[in-house]
Amino acid sequence: MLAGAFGLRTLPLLAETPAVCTLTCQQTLGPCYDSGTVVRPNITEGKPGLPTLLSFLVVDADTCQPIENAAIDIWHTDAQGIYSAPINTFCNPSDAGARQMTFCRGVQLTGAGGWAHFNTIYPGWYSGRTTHIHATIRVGGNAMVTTQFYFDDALSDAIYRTHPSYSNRPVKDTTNLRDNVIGGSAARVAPYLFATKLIDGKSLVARKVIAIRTSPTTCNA
Amino acid sequence: MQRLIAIAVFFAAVTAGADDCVRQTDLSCPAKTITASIIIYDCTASDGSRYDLWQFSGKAGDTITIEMHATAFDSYLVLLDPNDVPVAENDDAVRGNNDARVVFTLTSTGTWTVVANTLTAVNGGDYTLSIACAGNVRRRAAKH
Repeated sequence: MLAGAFGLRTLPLLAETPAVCTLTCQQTLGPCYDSGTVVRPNITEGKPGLPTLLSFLVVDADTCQPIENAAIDIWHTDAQGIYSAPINTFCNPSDAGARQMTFCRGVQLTGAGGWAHFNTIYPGWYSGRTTHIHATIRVGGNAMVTTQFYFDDALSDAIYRTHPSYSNRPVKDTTNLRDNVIGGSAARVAPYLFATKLIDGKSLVARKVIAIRTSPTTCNA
Repeated sequence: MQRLIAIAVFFAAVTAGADDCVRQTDLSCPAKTITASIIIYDCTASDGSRYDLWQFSGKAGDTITIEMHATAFDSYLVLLDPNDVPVAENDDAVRGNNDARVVFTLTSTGTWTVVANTLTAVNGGDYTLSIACAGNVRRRAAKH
C-alpha cells in the first residue's frame, strides 16, 4: 500500500540496545491526558488506521541496564487527529463519540528485559502539532518523566498521503522542525524519534529507548 | 556515486517492497525448521532491510516459539496476525546476540505470518527459522 511512497531521506533505524543511554527529558503533559487509563496491550478499540506495534525499552540512564516493572502510560490521537475521553474539548472538538471512548490510551509494564509493547494505529495529526505520542513513565507509582515521541516527517507524509484512513485530510501543517514543543533543530528532535520499519506496506513496527533515573532528576527537552 | 547507490536502493525497495510480497508456506505447526537466505531480490522494508515472509496455520490459545538464527547478519523477527497486524517483534533472543526469538500466545485461529528480517540494511546471508507450537495447557489437561 505504501511501497514506493518514501523519498531518499534516511529514516531512523532500529538498532541494538545502546551502550550509552541519554537521559529522556521532560516535555509538556499537554491538555489531553486522562488519568483513567487502564493496563492493556491493545489500545485501538477498533479504530481504523495503519496497524502499528510500539515497542519501548526502559533503561537506567546511568547503567543502560533494563528496568523491570516500569509503567509506560501512553496517549495519542486516532487517524483523524482526535483524542478520546471526556477531557478538554480542545482535544476532541465536536466529537461526542470520542468523548465516550478511551481509544489510543493505555498502560503497559516492562518485562524482565525492560521491554513493553502496545498494539495501536499510527496517530493522525492536528493543526499546530507534528505527529506525536505522549508518554509518562512511572516506577513504583512515581512519575519519572513525562515526554513525547515523534516520527520522521517522510514516514508520516507517506502514510497520510496513501493510507485510506488518513488520506481524506489535508497535508499535515506542522513538521517536526516547526513543532512548538520539540521543534527548532534536527538535533533537538532526534533523541525523541521512533525507529521504524514498514513491512509489506501494511504493518509498522516502531521502537524507542527511554532512559530514566529513579532518583529525582529534571531535564527539559 | 552515493546518490546513484541511494537511487538504486530506493527503486529496489519500490519493486521488491511492492504489495503482496510472496508469502511462503513451508512453516507449519507443531514444529518445523527451515533453512533459507536473505538475498537482494527479497522484499524490502522502509529502512532498506530485506525480509522473507513465512505463513503458518495457528490455533487460538496455542503458544508458539519462533527462532531465527544467522551468522552473517543480526536477525529480526516480526509476527503478523491473520489481519497483518504486527503483534510481536524481537531482535535478541539473548541480550546482545544475533539471534531473534518471539514467544506469543495466538489470539485467533487462522493464517499467521512470520517476517524473517535483518535488523539493519545489510547484504543478508543464510539463516535458519524454526517454529514450535504448544497447545493450550489448560485445554490439554482437561482432556486427561
